Amino acid sequence: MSVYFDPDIKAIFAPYVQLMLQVSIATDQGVFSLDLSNYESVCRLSQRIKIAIEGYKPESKTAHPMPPRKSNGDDNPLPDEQIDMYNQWLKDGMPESEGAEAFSGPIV
Amino acid sequence: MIRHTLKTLIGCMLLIVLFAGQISAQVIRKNIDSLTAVELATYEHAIQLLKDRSAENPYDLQGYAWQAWVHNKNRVTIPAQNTMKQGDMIPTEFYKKAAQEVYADGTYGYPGMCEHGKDIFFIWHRAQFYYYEQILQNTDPEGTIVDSKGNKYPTKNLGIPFWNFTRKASGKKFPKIFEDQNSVLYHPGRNIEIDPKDTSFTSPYLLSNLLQSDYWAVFGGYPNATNGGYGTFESQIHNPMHDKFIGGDMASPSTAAYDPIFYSFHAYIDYVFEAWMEQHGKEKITSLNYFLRAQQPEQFHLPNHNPGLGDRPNMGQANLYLDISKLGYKYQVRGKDRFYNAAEIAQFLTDSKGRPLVLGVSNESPYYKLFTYGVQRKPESDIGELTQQTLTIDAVNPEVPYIYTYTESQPTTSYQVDIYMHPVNVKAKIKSKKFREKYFVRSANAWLDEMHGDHIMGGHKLNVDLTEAINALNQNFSGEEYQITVNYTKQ
Repeated sequence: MSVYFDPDIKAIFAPYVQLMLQVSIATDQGVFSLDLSNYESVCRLSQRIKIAIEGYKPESKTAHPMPPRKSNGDDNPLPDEQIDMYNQWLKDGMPESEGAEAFSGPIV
Repeated sequence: MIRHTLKTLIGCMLLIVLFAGQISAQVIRKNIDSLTAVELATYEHAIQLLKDRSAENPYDLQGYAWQAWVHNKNRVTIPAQNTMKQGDMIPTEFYKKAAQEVYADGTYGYPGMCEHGKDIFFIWHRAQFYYYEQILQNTDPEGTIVDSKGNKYPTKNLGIPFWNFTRKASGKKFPKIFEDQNSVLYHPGRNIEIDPKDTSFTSPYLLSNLLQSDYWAVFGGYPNATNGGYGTFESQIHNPMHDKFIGGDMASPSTAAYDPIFYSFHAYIDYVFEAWMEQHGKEKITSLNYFLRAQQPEQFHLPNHNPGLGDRPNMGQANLYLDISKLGYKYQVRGKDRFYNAAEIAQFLTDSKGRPLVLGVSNESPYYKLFTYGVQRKPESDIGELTQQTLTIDAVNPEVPYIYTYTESQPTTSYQVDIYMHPVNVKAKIKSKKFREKYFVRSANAWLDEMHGDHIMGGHKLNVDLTEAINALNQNFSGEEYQITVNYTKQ
């Protein structure tokens, strides 16, 4: 089954859109906002998102995972199946929706 | 002949004028304790003017609040017309309130996000300070503006004074002026406890020893693109100075720059960065093409400033900030501000009979002496969480260093790891001073706070380079089984 940004990936990230808009991501191309509801923004920063969400996996050496801690202080990891879905979407070439053209901009 | 002499004379005069112009374009950053009374008053005046601006409008990019937010705050809402005034509020409380305010007619501003735990730690702070110094110099260049304390001094030649925190303080714990409650440099809430017999918290020998490392990542931090990791300077010196020694607002990344001591503390750190480059060159420094996030006054952008492709404000690329002569300042260091060289460190690392300290053999580990001699800093004697792993001692190629990495998901408070290397048949007795003295090899600290969510995707890994310790053990214990014991404690 194919994975698309809209609705699959967008739905995973929906709860975190507002908080992540506060963050500025520094790269060697410039400093970018991260709008998790926006296809181009997610594609552009897709590798950084991958590092961040995989931080929850036990074997990962990556800290600073996304999504952030809940307001009550509890950890708030993405379930493994959602991380797997995101990775599958990357592997599929990050399609926006069925039949749409794939992202062709720079990944930073 | 006369014409030739005249030409030469004019040429020489022109050169002198040009040279003098170049010198005067570089302000001098001095040890804060060596400032004259007028120089100190000038610095206080400039900071007071910044605070006066923020009292009237906390969203002024050239005010004290905004400049503190460059380090502390990702995003604020800026009203179309500011009506917030400080009035009788305590300045820091006012700044915190202004940072949280949301305005229906407002637009977003992005003061900044400090870079920590990666290779752009030094250069990001250098860029922050470039703007801060320019702003200070331009508060009252000719000394014509009276601040709210009734003072006026020309600020055009002002350089940020540094605090050499590896030396005994001129005050009880900090440079005297930071302890003077009448000074704008005073900030309530700092941890003021210190044992009078200790000269400082950080040993100048430890710092000098770290400076000897030729490996940029080990000293300065691991590449941004690989999700970073603290270098030795940051985790062993910078972080514990913030959260263990100074405390108060300086204990947290989210509030640190509200305390004026932040600027003198980091001015010295910038001097350390410069010293590393003088010893080892600039070629090995990584991530210099990265853009440095912060919203600063555009009139102070460097001539080659290029904002890049992103949609957020920044201070340009890191490589703009390598040469301090182009940033308009230089350091004046005297006597005790200089670092120890390798021979002096070797001489220091001897026992009472003058024999070199040998890890695993001498009763005192050379690292223990580096960390603790004459200073307040000691490894934790309380047991936190212990983790252990076994290692067969063998030579490590410094080009492929042995790095112990500690990380935890979403930590909310600072923590420290003290690392010991001991034979497997020696039990780890953290509470025993003898054990700590003999087997201690490293202490590293992660500087974090509850607002850490703001730093999401910034990278946090506590890397501790054990290469040197393993190679030291290899000289006497090659092939033997050793245990690495890590004592994790919350700060």
